[in-house]
Parts: sequence; structure tokens; C-alpha cells
Amino acid sequence: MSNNCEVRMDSPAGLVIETAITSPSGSCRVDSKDPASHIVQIHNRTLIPYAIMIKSECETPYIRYGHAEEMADSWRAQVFVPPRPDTGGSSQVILSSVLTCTSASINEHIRISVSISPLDSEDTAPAVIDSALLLVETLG
Amino acid sequence: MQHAAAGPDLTKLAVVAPFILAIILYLVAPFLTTRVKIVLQRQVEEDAKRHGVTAYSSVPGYLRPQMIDDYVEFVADAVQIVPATLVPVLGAVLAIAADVGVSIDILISVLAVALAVVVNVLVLSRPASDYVSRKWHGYSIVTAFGITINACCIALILAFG
Repeated sequence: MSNNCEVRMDSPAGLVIETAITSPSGSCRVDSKDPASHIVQIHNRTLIPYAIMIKSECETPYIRYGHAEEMADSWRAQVFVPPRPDTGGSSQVILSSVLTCTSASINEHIRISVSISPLDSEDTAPAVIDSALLLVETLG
Repeated sequence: MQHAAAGPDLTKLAVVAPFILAIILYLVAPFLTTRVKIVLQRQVEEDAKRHGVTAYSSVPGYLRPQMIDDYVEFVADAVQIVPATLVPVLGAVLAIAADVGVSIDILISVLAVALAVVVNVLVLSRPASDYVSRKWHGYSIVTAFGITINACCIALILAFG
């Protein structure tokens, strides 16, 4: 992934977490008239189920989650990812949230953080934590 | 004068026999690996009891039995890539002694070594779980490589030898 708004997060081997912003207005762009989507895709090729916490925060003023009527500056989700099927392949979980904007700007930031733990882990600290910055242009 | 009835070309059969044997070994390989994993699982469970571990929730993810299963299967495949390449090369050497064309033997040897290098790089560049999850009806990339290269050698020898 080479775009500023497409990132592959650090994760245990066999578990792939990719996050991207998709928009009808073009790559890494958000238009209030055609809302974009912030998508997180998780592929698990291991036999271990994982609990993953996702926290995504808008760090600049013009990019927001949700629709114009009800906007928020953050998006949180907790997801349980099952192990791969016995026959092989991967188990997949896809999450998404709507993105909108309030004004035009070229340097809007979203910081996404993920914390990953094997399901039923006794450790209170997660096994892996990673964060990444997504850069977006808002069109107003 | 009676002519002997035409029979099978025993020389060619003897030359392709090592390749046929290799294919049979590759076909049974998944069952052998499963047997080893079952034995190892029992050993891990017994050792866990001796160490007072009653639940795997305190074990880090990368050391859980499910991951060990994947590591075992990955290692079992990865270490056999280079030795398995010797079978087609040996078969090619025996084919020279049986008067199969030298060009066929060289082609077989070069093909086997080149494919082995490619498969080695592909396998060792992937995490164990990623590699193990990519199977077709229980047969892995290495098994598919082994069956394919040996089948190609049989075809080349029978067609042009």
C-alpha cells in the first residue's frame, strides 16, 4: 500500500490489518456531498482467534466521522476475529465508518490505533499495539 | 524364426521409477505430517501438565499449540525442498546411463534446480501460518511443486527419451 490514506498495520504473523479511505471523489479525498468510507479489513490466517480494539480519531478540524446531521471526531470499534477455517484460507472481518467534512483543506489527519490480543488472553496488556496516520484532502 | 512379442520398455520404466516413487511420497506427505503433529500435541499437553499449566490463556499467542502446529508443518515442508530437488537430478543422472538423451537430462536438472530456488524463496518469505493456510485439498505449495516437477520429468523422459 503506497497511498497516504492506505496503511497496513503492524500485527502478529498471519494476521493482516489494512485500513484505507475510499471515496467516490478520488483517492484520499472526502467530499461532504459524496461521503467517503473509512474501511478496516482484517484477515486472519492463523488458528488463533483475536480480539481487536480499533480507535480512530480526527486530529484536525475539518474531517469528521458520520453524516452532516450527526458528526463525531472519533470512531471506536471492538471486533472478534475467528481463526482460519479448517480447510485453509483466511477468516475476514470488514469494518467501515462514514467520513464527511465541514470545509476544504489539504492536510487533514486521522490517527488510527489498534490493539490486538489473542482471545481469552489472561494478560491485561494487549499483545500488539500500533498506530498510523492517514492523510486526507477534504473538498468541502 | 519367431519374434518375441513386443513388451513394455523396461529401461524407460526403470528410469521413471524414482520419479513415480517421489510422487507417491508427496501424496502421502500430508498424512505423515498430521501424524507427527498429533504426537507433538500430546507431548506438549503432557509437558504443560508437568509445568502446572492448566489453560493456555496465560501462554503468549505465538507459543500456543495452534501456532506450534503451524510452525511444525512449515518446517516439515521447508526443509524438504532442497533434498527433494535431488530426486529429479538423480533421476536425470540415471537416465544418462540408460541412454536417454543428454539434452533431456540437462533440461530436467536445470528445471528442478531453478524451480527449487523459486519455491525456497517463496516459502521462506512467508509467515508459517500464512504458508500453511494456503493449501489445496490438504496439499501445500511444496507438495504441489514436488508432484509437478516429478510429473514433468516423467513426461519429458517418456516423450523424448
